[in-house]
Amino acid sequence: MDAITLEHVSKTYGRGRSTVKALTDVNFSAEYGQLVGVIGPSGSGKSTFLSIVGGLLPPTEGDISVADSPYHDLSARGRERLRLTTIGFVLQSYNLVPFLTVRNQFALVDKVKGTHHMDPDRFHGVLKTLGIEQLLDSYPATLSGGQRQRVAIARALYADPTIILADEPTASLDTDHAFQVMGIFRDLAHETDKAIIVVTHDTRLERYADALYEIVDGALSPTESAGSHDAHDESR
Amino acid sequence: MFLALTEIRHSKMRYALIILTITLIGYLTFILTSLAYGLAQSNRSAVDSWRASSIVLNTEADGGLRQSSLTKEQVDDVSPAGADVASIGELSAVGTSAGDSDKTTVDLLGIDKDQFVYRELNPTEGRRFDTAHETVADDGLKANGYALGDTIKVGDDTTLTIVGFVHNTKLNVAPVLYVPLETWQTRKFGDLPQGAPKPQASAVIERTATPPQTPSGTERLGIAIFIEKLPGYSAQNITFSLMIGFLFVITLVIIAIFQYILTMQKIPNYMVLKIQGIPTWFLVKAMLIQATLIAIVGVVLAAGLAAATALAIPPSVPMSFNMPLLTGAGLAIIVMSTLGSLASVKTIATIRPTSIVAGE
Repeated sequence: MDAITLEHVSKTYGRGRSTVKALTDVNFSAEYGQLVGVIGPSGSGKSTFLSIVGGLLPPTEGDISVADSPYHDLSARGRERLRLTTIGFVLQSYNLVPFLTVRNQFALVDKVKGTHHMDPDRFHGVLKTLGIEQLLDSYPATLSGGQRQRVAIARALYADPTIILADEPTASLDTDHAFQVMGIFRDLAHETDKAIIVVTHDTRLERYADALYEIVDGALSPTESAGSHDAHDESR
Repeated sequence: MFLALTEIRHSKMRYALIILTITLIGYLTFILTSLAYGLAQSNRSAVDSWRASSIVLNTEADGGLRQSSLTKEQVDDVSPAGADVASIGELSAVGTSAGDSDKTTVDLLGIDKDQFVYRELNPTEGRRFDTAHETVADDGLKANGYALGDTIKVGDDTTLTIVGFVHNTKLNVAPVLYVPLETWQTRKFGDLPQGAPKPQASAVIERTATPPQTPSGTERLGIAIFIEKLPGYSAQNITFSLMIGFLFVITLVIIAIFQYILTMQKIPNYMVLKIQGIPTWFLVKAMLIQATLIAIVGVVLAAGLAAATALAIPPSVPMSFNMPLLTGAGLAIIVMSTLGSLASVKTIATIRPTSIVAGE
């Protein structure tokens, strides 16, 4: 079963002469346990694609399904709920709430949902894997860029979503940290059976993906899949 | 509550300034309210102490006690046997202490020893008057140096001995001197030509659910209406009410502005939270709780300042702290703060989280 599927999805902004087609007849799918890369230059429609996949925007045409359940015609509140329970986001920046400590970034999910979301042992395992155990009482402003991204990944995982969307997650990182973060994504996808979709313009990150798409001028097309063995050795 | 409190803890200085603003507004509101209440009390406390239901005055007096005078026949007609009534004679005067060293405006009230006002006089010190040259005075005169046994000269030829003090008994802001009705008559009218009609009293106050017909030349007013007609009373109350009302509106506007600015500054934060799926109602609730919390803290601090002021102000300042009134004012400030923050609800609800997705 595919984690997420887009069929003939288009997105148009404006009307009449000011119409802009941001996405044109996009067909896409991502499986559980797979890291999918969507590579494209600035202005290619990556952000629109990610916003639609993440339920931030409704498509103008087409169907979207999450675990075979359609959600393209969900209300704004319904899409909001989906982001809380099923879809996690890791953004280029503005990932974390500045006035919450790392610990409270996770606690907020519990407050909204009224219950602890991830098993505590498993959660500590995730913190250990990401190397952020000692940062729980720190505010985001005191963390480095790489630490913030790793906290953001943990935060996205905490709600235990089945799909994680990462928007240019390495843009503000140096090369070593960028490869480290991509390695973490790949391992998470394979080990926790999640579908992770990374949208980026950085072609160096292709090697980490199990499947690749290219997006140009709103048109999405699959490319050859990249094997991850070389990338794994390189990131170490 | 979680989001509201963690943000306040993180940005202490920012919220301390907002709380300080509310504290100052609250303090001003409490002081003005107490001043308004105190001034109102100093106008009417004597009338309140009578616990009368109505008052009968001369028709020509237009509801003014000072301008009214009733003849003996009119007083007798108002007071059928067995009715619970009391004659009141009023005279504004200047009281002078022994040695002519201190002058104070006073209000002479003549009362009948056989009627309820005298019977219910309950001095906190001393006793009720017995003779024509004795008086029971408002204890506000102690601030002018008067004590039990002292004499106070009213006019050129009337010297009264203070034999008792009563608490908080003023009329038209002046301390009251209760004297026998005959003393008032002599003081006000002196020696009239033989055969000339001698007014019996300024007015008759009544305690009755079914007042009899008013005698010719008189009018009956409910006590509440009579109080409203006290000189300057209504104008003073309206003025203070407007000032305090505007303070509440100002509170609402200030909090609305503060919250709007804070909301605009936090738009990126709200975008992050919305992308994470945090519902809009949760964010709005946090904002409202935060506005209410800072208002509560501000009001409590203002109450503390007002209490300290109450201890420090001299007795001559006509301030009276009425707890129900001040509690109501405090609650009104809290409500206004919460309402003011509603101005930011639409902003939060319409924030588009897509804006922080890369490239937009």
